[in-house]
Amino acid sequence: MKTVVIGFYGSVLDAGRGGKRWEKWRPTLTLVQQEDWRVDRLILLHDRRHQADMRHLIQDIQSCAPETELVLEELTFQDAWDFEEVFNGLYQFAKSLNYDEENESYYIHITTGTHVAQICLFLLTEARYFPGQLVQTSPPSKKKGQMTGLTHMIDLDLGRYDLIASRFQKELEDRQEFLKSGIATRNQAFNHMIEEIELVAMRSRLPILLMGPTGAGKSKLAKRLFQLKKAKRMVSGDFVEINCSTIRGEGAMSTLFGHVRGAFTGALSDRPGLLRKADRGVLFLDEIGELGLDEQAMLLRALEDGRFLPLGGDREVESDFQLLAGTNRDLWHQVAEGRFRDDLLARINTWSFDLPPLRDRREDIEPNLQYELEQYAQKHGSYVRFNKEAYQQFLRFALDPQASWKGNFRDLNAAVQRMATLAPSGRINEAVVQKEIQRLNRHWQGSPVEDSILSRFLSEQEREDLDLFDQVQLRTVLEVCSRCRTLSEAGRILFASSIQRRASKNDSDRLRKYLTKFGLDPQAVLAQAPDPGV
Amino acid sequence: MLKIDATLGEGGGQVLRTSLTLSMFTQQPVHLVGIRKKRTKPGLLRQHLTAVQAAQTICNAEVQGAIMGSTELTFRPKAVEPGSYQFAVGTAGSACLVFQTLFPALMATQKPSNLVLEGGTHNAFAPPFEFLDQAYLQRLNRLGWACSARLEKAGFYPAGGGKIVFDLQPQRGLDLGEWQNANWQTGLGLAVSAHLPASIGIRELAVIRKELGFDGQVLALPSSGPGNAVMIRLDGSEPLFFCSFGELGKLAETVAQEAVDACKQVLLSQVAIDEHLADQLILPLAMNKGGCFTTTQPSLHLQTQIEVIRRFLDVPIRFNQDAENRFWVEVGSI
Repeated sequence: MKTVVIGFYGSVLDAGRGGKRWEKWRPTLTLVQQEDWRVDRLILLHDRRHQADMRHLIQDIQSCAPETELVLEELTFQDAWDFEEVFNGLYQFAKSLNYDEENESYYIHITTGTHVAQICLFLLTEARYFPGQLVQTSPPSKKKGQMTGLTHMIDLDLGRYDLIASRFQKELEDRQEFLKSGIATRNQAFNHMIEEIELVAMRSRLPILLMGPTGAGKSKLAKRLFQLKKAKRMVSGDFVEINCSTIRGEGAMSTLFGHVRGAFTGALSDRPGLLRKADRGVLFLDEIGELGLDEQAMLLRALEDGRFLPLGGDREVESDFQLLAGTNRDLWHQVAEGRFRDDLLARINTWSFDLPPLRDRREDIEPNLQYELEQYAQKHGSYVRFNKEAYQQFLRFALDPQASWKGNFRDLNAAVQRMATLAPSGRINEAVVQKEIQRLNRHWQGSPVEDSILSRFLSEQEREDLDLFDQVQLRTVLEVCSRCRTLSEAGRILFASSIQRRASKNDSDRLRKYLTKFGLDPQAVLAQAPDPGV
Repeated sequence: MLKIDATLGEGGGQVLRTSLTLSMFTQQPVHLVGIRKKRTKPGLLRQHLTAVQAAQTICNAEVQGAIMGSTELTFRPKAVEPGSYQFAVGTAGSACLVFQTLFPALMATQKPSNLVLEGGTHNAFAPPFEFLDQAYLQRLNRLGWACSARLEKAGFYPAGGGKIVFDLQPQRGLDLGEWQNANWQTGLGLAVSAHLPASIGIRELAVIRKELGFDGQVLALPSSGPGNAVMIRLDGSEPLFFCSFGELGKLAETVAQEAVDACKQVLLSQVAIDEHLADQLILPLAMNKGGCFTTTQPSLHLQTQIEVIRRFLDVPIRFNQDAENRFWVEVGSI
C-alpha cells in the first residue's frame, strides 16, 4: 500500500532559506520526516507566485525523504481567501486525479494553505471527492526534546473512534428503543425492522408505508417516528394524523387540501386543510387504501411537486411534509381492482414496512403486557399487579397458538384495561383472568370485519350477551342491510331461496321483527342511514 | 529456518542488521520476531526498512513482513551479487549503519563492489564517517577487507542528504585481527560543522586542548542542513575515534566533554579498542574465524552482537578480564 499526501505549499509556514530554516518548523517538511510513516508520493499544490521560494523546501524534502516522489501541481488563485474560487479550483483538481484506492492510501494535509483552503479541503474530503483521511502536522515540543514535528491522522469515518462510536451506538439504541416505546421486544424480525425504520427515518424524507393489521401499532409507530425526527430537529412542523376511512365523500377533498371561502355552500371561510397543517412536519394518512381516486390524484401531485390546488381555489399552494401512510389492506390488490392508483402506490412504497400481527410476535406479548401495566399505572396513579398464578394463567393463554389476538395490541391493551379495572385491591387474580380469557375468546370467534359491523350497532355488553348462534346470524343480516336502501330490498336477498315457495312475501316485516328482537332500529341499519360511528 | 527473538540483548535495530548480514553470509534464511518490540515506536521504521530493502537488493532475497511497523520479518537470501549499488536512507537515518549491514556480505564474495549511500553521515547512536573510514575500515584492511570511503557531502540530523562513496576491493587476508596493545602516542581534536558559526568548533577544541592537550582542527563540511560533531582521534598504528554530537540548545563545551570522557576511559584502562568499535569489529572477526582485542567492560551492544553471531556461526568467543576495566576478547581458537 502506497501513501500519497496532497497538500498546499504554505507560503509562510513552509518558507525559509539559509541554515536557519532548519530551526523553524515547516509543516510540509514534517510530513516526510516521520520515522514511522513514509510518504511515497507528495502532491504539492502551489501558487505560481511562490515557485521561486519553494525550491528550498523541495530541496529539503528530497534530502530528508529520498524515497518520496514529489509532484508539483500549480493551482493559482486570484484570491486564496475567496471561498467560491478556492472550492471550485480544489473541486476541479480533486476530480482530475486518478485514484487507485486498491493500492494507495490518500491523506489530505490541512495544516498549510489559507483557512478557506483548509475548509475546502475538509469539505471535499468529507464528501469523499478526495477519498482519504485528513492529516495535520504540529510543531515539535522542545520540552520533550523533539527535533521534528508530529503528524496526526484524522479519519472522518467516526465509526472508527471507540468513544464516538459507543456514544453513537448508545444514541442509536436509544432511538430504536424510543420507536419501540421502550418495550424490550424479543422478536428478531420486529427488532430488525425497527433498526431499518430508524435508519430510514434518520436519513430520508421520502414517504414511508406502514402495513399491517389493525392494532399492530402503525399509528403509534408513526407518532413515535415524528417525535424522533422532531427531537433531532429534522422536522419543525406538526404531526397531523387522519384515518382516511373517516373522510370519505365530499368533505374529503376539503379536509385534506383545504378550500377557499365560497368554494361551496357553507364554505364561509378559508380552510387550510391537513396537508398545509403538516407543512414542514409529518402527515400520517392511516388506511390510505380508503382514499377516493380524486384525492389520490391530488395527493400524488402534492407529493411530486409539493404543490396542490385547494377546493375552489385558482392558485396552487405549497406544503413541504413527509408522508407516512398506513394500510391494513393489500394495496397491490386494490391497484389491480382499479381502486388505488399504481403511480401513487409506487410513490409511497419507496420504504414500506410490514408490521407483524401480535400472534406472529408471541415472544413480545410478555414485555408488552408489562408495558401496558406500567401505562395503566401511569395513567391511574396506582400500580396493578397479577398474582403469580393468575399471571401464569394469562401468559399460558396469551402464548397459546389458539389465541388469535385478532385485534393485536388493541386487544392486549383492552384486556389489561379491563383486568386492571376489575382487579380487587390492585391485584389481578385467577378469577379476573378467567373472565378475561372467556371474553377474549368470545371476541375472537368472528371475523374482524363482521365484528365491526356488530360493534357498530350493539354495545359491548349487548354483544357479550349474544349467543354465538345469534352472533353469526345477526352479522350476516346486518351486513346485507347495510348494503340495501330498504328493508324489502334486504329481505329479497336474505330470503331469496324460499321466496318462490311462499305465499306471504312480506319479508320486510319479518326482518323488522328480527331486528327489533335485538333492540335494533330497522331504519338505522340500512345503507342510507347515518353512521352512528362518525 | 532460523528463528530469532529480536528482543534479545538491547533488542533494537542492531539485532535486525546483524541478522541480515549473517543471513546473507551464511545463506541461512532467518525469521525474526519481536523486532524493536519494546521501543516507543515498535517495529520497523523507515531506516530499518531501507536496510532490509538494501540487503534484499544485493542478494535477491525473498522477504516477508517488510512493512512499516512490522515486528516480524522473514528473510530468505540468495547468493550475494557484487556490483554497484546506490541506496538512500530517509529521515537522516544513518547511511553508515546501512553500509555496515551490506559491507561484510559483499566482502565475503571476494569480488569488487561499489556502494553509494545517501542519508545521515554524522548521527548520534551510529558511527560517523571519520570513525567508519579510519577506525573501522583501516583495521579491516588487515583481514583483506580493503575498502576506500569518500565523503562527498555530510548529512546531519534532521536534514540528512549526506553522501558517501565506497569502493570495495577484497584482497587475500594478510593478517589476523589482533589489537592488544594500547600504544597511544598522540591525538587530535576535530570539530566538524556545517551552516553553523565557527565559534562552536573553536570552543569545543578548547575543551579538548585543556583536558587532553591535543591540537585541533575545525572542518567545515558541505551539507544540506546544519550540524555539528566533535571527534577526538587517538593515534596509534590505527586510530581510534571518540565522537559526540551537537544539538540545538546543548552547550559546545558539554558536547566536547562527552568525547573527552570517553577518550579518557580508554587511556585510563589501557585498552586497544573502545566500546563502540568493539561491537563493530566482533562481526568481521567472527566471520573471519579469528582475532582478538582488548577493550573496556563489554557493553550491552557487544553482548547482543555475540548473541546473534552465536545463532549463525559456530565460532568460540571468549572474554578474559585482566584488569579492573580491561577485557580480552578472543574470537576463534587462537
